[in-house]
Amino acid sequence: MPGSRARSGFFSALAALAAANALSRPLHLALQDGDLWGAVSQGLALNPAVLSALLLGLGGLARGQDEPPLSDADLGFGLILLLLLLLPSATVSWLVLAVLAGYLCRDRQLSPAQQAGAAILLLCALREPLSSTVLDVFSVPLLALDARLAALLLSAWSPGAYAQGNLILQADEVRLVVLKGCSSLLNLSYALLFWYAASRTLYRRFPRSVWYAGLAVGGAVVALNVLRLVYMANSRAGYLLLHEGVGQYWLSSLSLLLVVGATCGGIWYAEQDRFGRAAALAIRPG
Amino acid sequence: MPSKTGLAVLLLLLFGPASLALKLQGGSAQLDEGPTLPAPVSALLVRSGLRPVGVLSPLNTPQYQIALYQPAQPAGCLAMLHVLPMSANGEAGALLRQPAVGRLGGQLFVLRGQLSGDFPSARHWWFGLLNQLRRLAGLAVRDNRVYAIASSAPCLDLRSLDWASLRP
Repeated sequence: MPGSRARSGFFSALAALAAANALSRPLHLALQDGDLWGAVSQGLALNPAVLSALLLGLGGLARGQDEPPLSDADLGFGLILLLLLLLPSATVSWLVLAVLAGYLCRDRQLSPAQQAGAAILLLCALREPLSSTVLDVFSVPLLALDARLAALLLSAWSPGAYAQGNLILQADEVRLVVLKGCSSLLNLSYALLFWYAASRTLYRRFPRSVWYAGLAVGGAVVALNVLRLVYMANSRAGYLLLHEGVGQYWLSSLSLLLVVGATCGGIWYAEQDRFGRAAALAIRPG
Repeated sequence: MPSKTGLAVLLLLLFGPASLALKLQGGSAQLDEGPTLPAPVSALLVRSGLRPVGVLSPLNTPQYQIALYQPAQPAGCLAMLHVLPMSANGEAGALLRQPAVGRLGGQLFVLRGQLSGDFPSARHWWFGLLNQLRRLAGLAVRDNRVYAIASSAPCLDLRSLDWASLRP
């Protein structure tokens, strides 16, 4: 049945199901306490960057135009992925989403919006297994780099601070141990995912200002993370404020603001370059 | 015979709820990497003539706690044995070298009952990589804890303990 939306509908639903499978476990755990408001205020254990990328990717995938009907190959491929989704592993669900998105990325019959959606979903799905693998296997040098940067900055006003491995020390006393959750790489992967998802929704080839925005996003996230480590290493009160207290929400909000601001700034300048100020005020995905 | 669209909807309705239900019921494939020594390790130390004397928390995180043991023999040996369980990726690799823990003598690292003199070694990296692949495949990871052990005095010979009995 040419012209129907069955094919894009099937693949969009399959992608949404894979994403739901990948996110269901942390969501379930967040809601298990019974404190619904507390869970909602903490974002239901869902990262805003991942959520945005999924919404943009799925939205793009659903926008099919003059698509071919569902084929036997599509159904067979979908059935294999559905069988794989039965495995009780969130990582496998991300990989299923990645395989589906990769399959769709190679499909020349997709509309530009669908191709953008597939590319965003591919990156979103690969971020989780890739970042966790890289962090697990290369945690020693990656965490040491974070500790070294933070110690370098700390030593500017607190002489004698130095890094050894993933520890920040001062006068033979351990001031902070940098663990995987604090790594710049983890924060960077989320920030760049958001930047890519927002930019790819609008552009197939990124203009120069969008690339600059990506650099700004990366730099801001690493700088903010290093500043956080320095503040936590500097005093016990600083550690408690940023690690246990309300400070972590301020920092997350500031980080989100910087990432969204830099990404939108890059898009704004790209639109101004292309069409002038009036068009930049009326940006529409396409 | 249902149309292909109908078949697609049927497949999604059949597998969708089932896959979600299995995710919500499934347990974690991760090992508990808590700070305490597991029973086989503490039993080995006690069997080797050591007695637990406390726990040291030198860092700002409860994740890394050092178990302290003292030997009953030989008489007059005032050594202290420090044991730190950590994950094989070596987040805490430098910890035992810290003055906050005490200036200790030799250190050994035990991975699945096998001793090594340095950390992280190629074996630890390989083991961490294999575990990561198992995790990606949804399989339960193997015991990926590394025990960093250090003695504060030479009268307590670390190699004399039966570390090989930890091998699964």
